Amino acid sequence: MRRAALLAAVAAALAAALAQAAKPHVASVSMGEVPAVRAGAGATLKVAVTVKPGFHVQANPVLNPALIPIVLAVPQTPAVSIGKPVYPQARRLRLVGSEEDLVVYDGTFVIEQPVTVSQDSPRGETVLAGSLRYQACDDRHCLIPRTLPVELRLRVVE
Amino acid sequence: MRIRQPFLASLLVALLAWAPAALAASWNYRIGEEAPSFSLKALDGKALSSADLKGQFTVISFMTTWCPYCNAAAPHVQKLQDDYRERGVRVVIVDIDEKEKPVQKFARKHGLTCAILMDDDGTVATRFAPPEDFIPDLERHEIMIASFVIVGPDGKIRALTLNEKPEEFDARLTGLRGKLDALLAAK
Repeated sequence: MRRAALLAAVAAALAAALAQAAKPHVASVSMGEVPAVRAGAGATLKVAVTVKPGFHVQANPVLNPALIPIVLAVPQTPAVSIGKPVYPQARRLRLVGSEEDLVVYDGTFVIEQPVTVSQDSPRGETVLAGSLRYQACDDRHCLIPRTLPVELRLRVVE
Repeated sequence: MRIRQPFLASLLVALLAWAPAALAASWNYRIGEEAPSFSLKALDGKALSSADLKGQFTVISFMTTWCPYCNAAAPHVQKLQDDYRERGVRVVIVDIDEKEKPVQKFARKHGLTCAILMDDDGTVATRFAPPEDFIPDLERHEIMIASFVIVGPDGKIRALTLNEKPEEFDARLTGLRGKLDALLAAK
């Protein structure tokens, strides 16, 4: 029992240390009102991404394949079929002395996620657990790519 | 004396909380101080250490293949090596926390012939990084991405750029060349 308590304390300490070491995200996600989708029908979920002022993230697609595009990834579920996300138009940016343009997003932008709900999907609210991977820079530094957990919600109705 | 387990657990918590801060403080370097020592494997498989670089001016370019600033600067880093080689300057790239394959591709794309050292876990970049209270939101190895350090023939740090003045960012490395010219003239 004591050993279990000690292990729990060590695990908690490690978790706390890791949390302390974890650096904050510069992007956040919101979906607004939970949309109602009829069973058997398709819909487009709108995922609003807000990037912290002063930062930008690499768009999707990127012009230079070495760069890391923003990617919304939502796994398929038996109840909801996930389509290919649609990313917005990007802004072009060229660094002084560079021979290539960058394509970036900043401020708030919307990624559209098409979904199709199966006929036999349980009625009520469904949560799709996904992730948003992005690589951000400000005008001085580039951040290591980060992955933000994302929850997409929809309400399945008759 | 019997030490109780809750006490040990508390001690462990305290140590874990203290350790990163203490290590960060020890990486606090200043211009004129000895550059941190390192030994890294280069992309060609050969090892290169800081001791190998003594006796010449060395420009260390910290990069990642996915960093837009690094991509913009990469051809100019090679040009820097080409232009200053005969003046006794060596340029080395330290790639931070990446696998070899994308780095090889990056090197081919930008025609890089200078040594590319693989800092697999960012430890060497972290050793060069400024203290934790300088832009604390960034990981220490993260803050070094797209930065440059000039190390003198004596192994001491002579200059550092961290994009402190964004309006002065220039992929052509005009500012860095100016610092290098001044150091070489004063030699």
